[in-house]
Amino acid sequence: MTRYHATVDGNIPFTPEEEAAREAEIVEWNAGEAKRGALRQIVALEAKITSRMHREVILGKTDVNPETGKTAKQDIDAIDAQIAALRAQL
Amino acid sequence: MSNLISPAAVGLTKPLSVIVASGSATVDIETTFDSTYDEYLILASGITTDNGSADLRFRLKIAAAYDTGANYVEQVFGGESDVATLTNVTRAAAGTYVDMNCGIQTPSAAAAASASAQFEIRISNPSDTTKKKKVTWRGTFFDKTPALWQVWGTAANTGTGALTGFRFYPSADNIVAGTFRLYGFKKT
Repeated sequence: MTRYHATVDGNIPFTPEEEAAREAEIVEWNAGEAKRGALRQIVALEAKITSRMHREVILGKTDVNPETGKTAKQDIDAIDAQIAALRAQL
Repeated sequence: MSNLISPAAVGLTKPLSVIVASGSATVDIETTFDSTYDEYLILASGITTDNGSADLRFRLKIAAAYDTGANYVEQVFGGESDVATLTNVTRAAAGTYVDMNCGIQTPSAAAAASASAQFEIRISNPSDTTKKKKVTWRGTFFDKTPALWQVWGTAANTGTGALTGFRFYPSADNIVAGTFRLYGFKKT
C-alpha cells in the first residue's frame, strides 16, 4: 500500500526509495519491541522508589507502608528484584 | 472591555498553514518557515496512530533536505498520572530522529477511541544559518494503559543550515488523525 506525506498541497506519495527506507525503519522498530517493553517497565519501576523510601532506609525506620504491607527497604528490595528480572531480558 | 488587545494586532491570529492527517505516513509542515518571523509555534492536537505501540517522532528539513543522519540530540522528561515522580524517559546524543513522547505509546485508535495526543512545539530563528536548530515542546497524551502523561522535551539538530520543514511521523504505521497548525509570532 502506498504511503503518503500529508502536506498543504495534499497527499504526496512516497518515492520507491522512501518506501524502502520506511520499511527498514519499521523492521528495526518491530525488532526492538521486547527490549522497549522491558525498558518501559524498568523506568516505571525506578520511579516507584521515592525520596521518602530512601530517607526511611537511611534513618533505619521500619514503618510499614499500608499499601504494600512492607517497610521501605522491603519495598525497594522487591522493586529491585523486578528490575533485575527485566534487565536479564535485555 | 476596552483594555483588551485586538487579536489582529498581536500575531498568532491565523495559522500560516494547517495540515489534517488522515492515514498519513508523515505530516510535513513547510508552509512557511522563513525569515518573516523569528519565532514559530506548532500546535498539534487530536493525534492518534493505528499502531498502539508507536512513538511519535520528528525530523527537520535542514539545508533543503529532511535530515536522516545521526545529527539529533534530545532530552525528554515525563510524568505519568499514576506515578508520583517525574522520569527522564529518553535521551539521545546522536539520534537519527527525535522521539517526542519518550518511547511511550500514542493511543491506538482501535484500543483507545477516546484518547489522543497533543503537543505545542516552539522553533526559533529557522532561517539562521549560523546556529544549531533547537526545538522545545510540551505535550500530553494517554498511553495504551491508558494512563495520562505529560512530557516536555528539548532537541536540536547539530546542523546550522536553514530550517524549512518539520516532519512528524510515527515509528510504525500511520498517523490516523490529527491537526497540525503552524503559527508565526510577529517580530514587533
